[in-house]
Amino acid sequence: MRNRKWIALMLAGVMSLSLIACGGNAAEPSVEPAQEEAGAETEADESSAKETSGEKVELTGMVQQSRWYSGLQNMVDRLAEQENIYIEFEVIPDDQYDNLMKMRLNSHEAPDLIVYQFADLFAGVNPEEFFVPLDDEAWMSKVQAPELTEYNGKHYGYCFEASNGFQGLIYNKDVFEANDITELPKTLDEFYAVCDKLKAADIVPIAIPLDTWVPQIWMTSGMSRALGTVDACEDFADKILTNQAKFNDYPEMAAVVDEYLDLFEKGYVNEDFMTVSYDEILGRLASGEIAMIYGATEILTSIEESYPEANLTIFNPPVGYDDKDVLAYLPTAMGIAVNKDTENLDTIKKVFDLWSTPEYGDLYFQSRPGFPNIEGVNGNEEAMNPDIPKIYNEYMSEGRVVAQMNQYIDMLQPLFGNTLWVYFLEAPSKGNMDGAAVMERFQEDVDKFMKEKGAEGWN
Amino acid sequence: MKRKKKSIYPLYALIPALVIYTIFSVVPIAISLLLSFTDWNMNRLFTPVFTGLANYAELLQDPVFLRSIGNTFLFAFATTILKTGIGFILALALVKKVAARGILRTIYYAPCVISITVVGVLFKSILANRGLLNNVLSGIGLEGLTRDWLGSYGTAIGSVIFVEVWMWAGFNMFIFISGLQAISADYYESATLDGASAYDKFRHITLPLIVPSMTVVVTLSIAGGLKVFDIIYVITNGGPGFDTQVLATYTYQSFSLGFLGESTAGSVILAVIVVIISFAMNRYFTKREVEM
Repeated sequence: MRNRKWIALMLAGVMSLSLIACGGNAAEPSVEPAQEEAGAETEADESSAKETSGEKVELTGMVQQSRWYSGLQNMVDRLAEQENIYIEFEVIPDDQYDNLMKMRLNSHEAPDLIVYQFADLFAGVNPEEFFVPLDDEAWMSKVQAPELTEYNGKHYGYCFEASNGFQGLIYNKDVFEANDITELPKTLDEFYAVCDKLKAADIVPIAIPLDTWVPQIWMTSGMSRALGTVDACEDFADKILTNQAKFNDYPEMAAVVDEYLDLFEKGYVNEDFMTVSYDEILGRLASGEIAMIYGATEILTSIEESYPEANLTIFNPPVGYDDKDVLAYLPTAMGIAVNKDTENLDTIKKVFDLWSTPEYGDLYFQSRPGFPNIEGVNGNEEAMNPDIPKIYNEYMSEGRVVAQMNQYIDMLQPLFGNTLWVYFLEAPSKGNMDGAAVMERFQEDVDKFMKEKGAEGWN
Repeated sequence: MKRKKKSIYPLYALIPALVIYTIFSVVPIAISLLLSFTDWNMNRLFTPVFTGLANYAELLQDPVFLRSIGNTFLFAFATTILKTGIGFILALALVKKVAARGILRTIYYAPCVISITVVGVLFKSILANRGLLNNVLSGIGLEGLTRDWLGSYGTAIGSVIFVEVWMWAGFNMFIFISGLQAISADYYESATLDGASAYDKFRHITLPLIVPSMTVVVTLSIAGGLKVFDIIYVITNGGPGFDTQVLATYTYQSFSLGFLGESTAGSVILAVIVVIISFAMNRYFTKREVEM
């Protein structure tokens, strides 16, 4: 009996000790700073030593599912083959990415590399706190759009592209031609006439999926176009973000939403927009069952990659609130930020050095033509839809461009997918809100969000 | 002389379990409760300030939150009634020696072992506007019944309730079958000798003696229904709009916005509701249990 007691006591002790041992990491932050630095140096030395010895080095990263491009995968594969550097990217569903990224960074458990859309990244996390500045790297001198990764005068990332292009309506050229639509519409009435013609031919003029980021393109593009100039957009954003003005103080905002809602009322939009997926919509567009979808040039490139047989292109649609015919472009691009806590900084710097060479950089654009951010890298523009550079250059050269509205008010980014974009689908589905009501409801979200944030002008 | 009652195991053996339970359950619950009274958010991750009941007041003024409470109750009670009722009927049918009993039990049980993500993809495509269900309805001449099942509130919430019942009725069936098999055949034989009808036997033997199984099924179902998240998330994601939001998806959304204090307050409200209702149901059924 006595033995049993002892055995029980010992078992309890062993299990408790093992639990304490498991939680050992929690005690790590108490290491003295000097010791910590010495430890970091040793780890960096080890990483550097591994590199020079050609030993296998493993890096970790996180990437959104929709951004896990084949070009990036090819770059990672070649790195493993030629340099013995392996990057284990965790592919995370888009809708969970922001939270995971913020939580991991804040708890100092993030991987070495964070793939995200620049400069949107800086709206979610403070780069000075979490990322390594890369200003001293040799490849920085070859960067075409350094402003993408700039924050308070320092650069916090490696961007593959200089720009994501511009927004517009992607359309099936074969469908237009089959219905004798040879000229693109230049006014809103002409646009409605095109839609009526398509509708009469039993073709859905515009398709919208349940994925809220698609219909919002109409608004983020439209709101900037309605204001018309970069200065007007910046002034608007400044007032909205400091509580000096409300969304409904600018009737243009509601007008944009109202014009979008008109498309539903006129029967130009697919009836199953609340349930049909984006992938299914793309299939319908490629097959000619529908004629147009909201999109952007990078989306067009992706669709062309998936449906090489489809004859697709893009145009800047005429709208009633933009008499200057302005183009909304995307001053954003996919890139990689380096976690400040990484123990493999030397290896990462070597990776970026390699990736900024044409040997690696070209891989990124082989299946997805684009605008490279690094001088000397071939963006495979000859494979690009010819309308993209044509339209881009035309508007750019005339200065008729504004960034999409999401860029100007990117401080509100967490609200977009959770509230505003949902309203853009809820309003036509239920018919319970007009443009002003949508903006009013969003204003309430903004007020609450900014108060929570402790933003200037709200407290 | 009063004999000292001996326990089989010494009390020390409880220590590991208590340590684990304390670290992974009691401490997080206590911390959550405290944080729900603060303005904890992504920007003040390590410096939350006490704000009293502000988070709770904010939640109770939010129409989407109130709607999500209504949806949670609707989902929990509807699925509990249906899962329990259908599970019980299936058990009564398949506890008997009927042909292909084993195969049928397996078929009814199978849905609950399928991954929820797979179930979500499966039913989203079945219920889609151009999905299997509408195609079948059109094929048999019932075009009038076709609709975008997940596109409006009534059919969307009805669909997720249906899927939940489809998944778990078979699981409940097994609990009931084990309960039914534990009832001694002697009771039924005596009742037959006394001239009791089939209904009398069901009413006065089966029902009272199945109450322990009913307690388990109802408690599990109601608690599972009240904290539902996965099935809503994968099939409707709280939509259309915010129509099928439940407490757990609302809390998740609040968390996504970085409102950690508010999100924690939502979790506390959910936990309190689950505890109170599960406890009340459990107590109600336990009182009606009969010693076999």
